[in-house]
Amino acid sequence: MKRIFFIIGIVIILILAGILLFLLFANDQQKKDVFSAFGLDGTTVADVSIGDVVDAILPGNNGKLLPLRQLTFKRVVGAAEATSDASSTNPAVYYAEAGTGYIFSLDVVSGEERKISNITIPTANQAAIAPDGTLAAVAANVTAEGRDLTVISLSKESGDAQSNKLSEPVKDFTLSTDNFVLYTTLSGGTLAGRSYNPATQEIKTLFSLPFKEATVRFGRKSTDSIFVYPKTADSLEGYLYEVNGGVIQRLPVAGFGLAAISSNNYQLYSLFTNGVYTSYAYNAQGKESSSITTVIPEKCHFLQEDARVFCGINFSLNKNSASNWYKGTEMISDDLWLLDLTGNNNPTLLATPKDLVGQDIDVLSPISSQDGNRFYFTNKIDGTLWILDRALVETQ
Amino acid sequence: MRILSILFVIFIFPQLCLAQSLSGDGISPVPVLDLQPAFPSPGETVKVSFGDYRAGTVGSEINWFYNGNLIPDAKNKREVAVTAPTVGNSALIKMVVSLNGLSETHSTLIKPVYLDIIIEPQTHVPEFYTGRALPSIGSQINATALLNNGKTLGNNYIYVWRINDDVYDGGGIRNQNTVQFPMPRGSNTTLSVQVSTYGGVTIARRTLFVPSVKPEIHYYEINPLYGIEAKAITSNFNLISNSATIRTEPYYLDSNVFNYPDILEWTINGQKVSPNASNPYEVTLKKTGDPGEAKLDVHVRSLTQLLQGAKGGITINI
Repeated sequence: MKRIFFIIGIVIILILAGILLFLLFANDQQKKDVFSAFGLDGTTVADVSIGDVVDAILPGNNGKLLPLRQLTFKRVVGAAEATSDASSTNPAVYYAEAGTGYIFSLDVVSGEERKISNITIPTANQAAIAPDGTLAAVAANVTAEGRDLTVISLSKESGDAQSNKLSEPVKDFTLSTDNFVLYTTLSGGTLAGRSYNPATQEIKTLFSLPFKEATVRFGRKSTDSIFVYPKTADSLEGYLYEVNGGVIQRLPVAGFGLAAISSNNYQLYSLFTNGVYTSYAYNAQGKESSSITTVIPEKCHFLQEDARVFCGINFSLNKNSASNWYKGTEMISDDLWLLDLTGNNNPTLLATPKDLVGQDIDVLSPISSQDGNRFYFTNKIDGTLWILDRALVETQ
Repeated sequence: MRILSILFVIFIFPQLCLAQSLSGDGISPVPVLDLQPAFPSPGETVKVSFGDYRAGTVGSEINWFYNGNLIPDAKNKREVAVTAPTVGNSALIKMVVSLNGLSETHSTLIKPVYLDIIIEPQTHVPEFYTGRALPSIGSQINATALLNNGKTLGNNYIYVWRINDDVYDGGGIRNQNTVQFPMPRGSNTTLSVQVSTYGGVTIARRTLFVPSVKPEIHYYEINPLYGIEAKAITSNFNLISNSATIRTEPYYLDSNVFNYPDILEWTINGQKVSPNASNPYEVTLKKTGDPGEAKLDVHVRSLTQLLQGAKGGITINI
């Protein structure tokens, strides 16, 4: 009798141990799936030749993609959702790797990743990629005069990338949707804004500012208005200017700590109002500002339709947070929000990274897909690229 | 007779005075409409007050008009608040003073322009920092005045700059919308500029305070592949690999001092160490001994401007 009880006891212990092992294994699998990422950090990618599939994305949580997921382990210095390969209907993000300037194409659903530019740009620290996936611009070699900017023509089919380095160092730059390189450069004691047409190699001067320490927000198209303000400083006044056709017009936006992002119809800006860091939306048509949820503008991105903004927001900002964040002495844990600057809709909370993936995300360089359904951003804490898929948020 | 004289003085004489002053007696100060601020920016609230020092208008009826439209709630007030028009537009403020069938009209034109002063301190900030440098005592400041009435107006004007109470260069300077000056001692410096046409008509005036800050030290790790890390080392640094390169960035240190410091000293636990030959603001740490802690300090300073300097330290965990 005792023997039977002993055998039953052993069996129960084995079953319990099996359940425990299963639970541990299953949890471990789930944790891995949060990082639906490919390749290893840094050096291993360099061994892959152009066009090879680097890795494949693993399905997310139990076969389902998570709405918020890490796309790379590599540090990323610029990204854009580009037209995907003809063979795939899935969206693809093109991104530039920090330090090397290599450009990769990543299918955000299947996880298939291809290297589409093998041109090495050492110390690459910022990049812009055209939405049609034909052009990239990568900046490197920081000096007081600016950075070297290499313009790369990408070919999805052959993977045969061509590059051309601009003859002058650049400060701010972007790629317009009509495939111009828009940039600023120091020129004779002023800051000049120029456009470079890679197709014709033609360079045109768009404007010239009588001061140098300026932040320039170029438009989506090369013909759009450009918005300029003196670089932000908590204790110095800033003023917002609109440049159109070479004419500089002052907008009724000014204050201490001014920082802004712009679209054609709205400017989102933050500044100190009676000592409190506050954000506003300026409506270019109505020519008036209205108060909105407090944001650091560099953590926000205008969607295509102009009045909605995707933002990383932390509600616990103090008066020094923005300045400390620029210096890198303070990292900020953001939630992901969608703001409507028309004031017709309340802000929408899209995701709380701490709850979804159990880690802090400090949103930097956010961008969106053309349809506004997917948002991409780098996590300033480690430089990795992330995606937030709104369609998956809504089905959760 | 004496009673009649007293009654005349009390009741009749003031009326005569008012009648005379409304028509102008040539002795009393000419009444004016004062603007506060004197040169408002577009959209700014402006106080318009009736600067009248004649006794005769006391008790008179006053009406205010903004571009010909009666301003409600301003009846019989000697001061009214109006909003300056948007850039490129003007507003005529008119007031009508009436008493006993007599009246006089005063008016002033508000034609605002933006006069911005852009401060560009010539102090050090790292290249990745997207903010503006701040001035520290003794550092050079570039200030630029920009006039804009819908478009930037250029600099074909006479500029009178004042730094605290001193007039820059002794007086008005033709076409000089930019000045350079060393940041004076004190926590705040008052900087003002007045812009006039060549004919001497003042069109804008602006005053602002320029605060000074102390230079501050921050540390960053240098990654051989990526360059400088965006995340600063705030107090402790864990030396995990065999070696690491640390850069110090003395924010807001005068650029000349940054480029040619009299003192630039690195110490580990109080012992001087040599910086990297390629950049004296960087040191490379190598793990050689047993695990433990070490204090890494840096001191950078000018010996001719002692306030141009900073010290700071972090703990290295090995």
